[in-house]
Amino acid sequence: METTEKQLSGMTEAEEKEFLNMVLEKTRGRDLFPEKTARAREFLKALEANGQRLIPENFKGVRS
Amino acid sequence: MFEFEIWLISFPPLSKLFPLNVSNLSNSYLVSEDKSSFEYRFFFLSKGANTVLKAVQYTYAHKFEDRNVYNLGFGDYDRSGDRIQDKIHTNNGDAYKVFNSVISTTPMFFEKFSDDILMVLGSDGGSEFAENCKRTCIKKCESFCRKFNQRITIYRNYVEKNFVELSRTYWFLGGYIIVNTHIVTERYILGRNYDAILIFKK
Repeated sequence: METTEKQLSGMTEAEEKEFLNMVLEKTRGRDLFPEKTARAREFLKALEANGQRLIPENFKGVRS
Repeated sequence: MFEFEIWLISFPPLSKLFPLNVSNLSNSYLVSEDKSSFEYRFFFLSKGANTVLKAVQYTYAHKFEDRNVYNLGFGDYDRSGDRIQDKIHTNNGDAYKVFNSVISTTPMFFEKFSDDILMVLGSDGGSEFAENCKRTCIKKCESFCRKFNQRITIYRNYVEKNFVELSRTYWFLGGYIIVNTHIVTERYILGRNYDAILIFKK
């Protein structure tokens, strides 16, 4: 980690852009937060299973 | 295969994207972005005591009432392990700038997914986190873990401080998790300790 931090510091703006682009390419198509996504899914499915609306019915002015 | 669009951007003027006084958000890092129909992802470098690579990702979670719901993820990206650390405190001395950088991606999300819903949950809000915290707590945690739900509290505080201005553009809902799977959502009421925040455009 120490080595990584040293490599990341002191980059020019152009180098930083190139580096960030490289990381985007490397991680493309992957869910980087699978646990959090799973929790969000559980939350929404539980809400659905309870027969509840996500957007409460008394929420005026919201299109359904 | 998905179609991807990639842009590398200098941060756009927030006043164009976020119609409110967010001058404090101008103090944010350069972010790079990558979008597909299932995710919208950003990376930036936090330059505090150390230089740390940060990732922000909006990931499709579920379709609900004909709207796609995306979940916000944020954490440190560890290149050597090729994984995210979203439960650690980096303590890099630039917490506000990092938070601003995360928040500054939200208007961009709604520019791309204007009919969809954004969901925010804390990475320290799950039952596993609470159980693990109680086992390892060094802060006199007794009946509850003091670290539990700290992250969603940061987002709640931001919403509460800017509620009037944000409400011109967005609807806010608050979600409670009551006894594991019993979940309730309601129109956001200031001061309530929600487990989740849901946001969508007016």
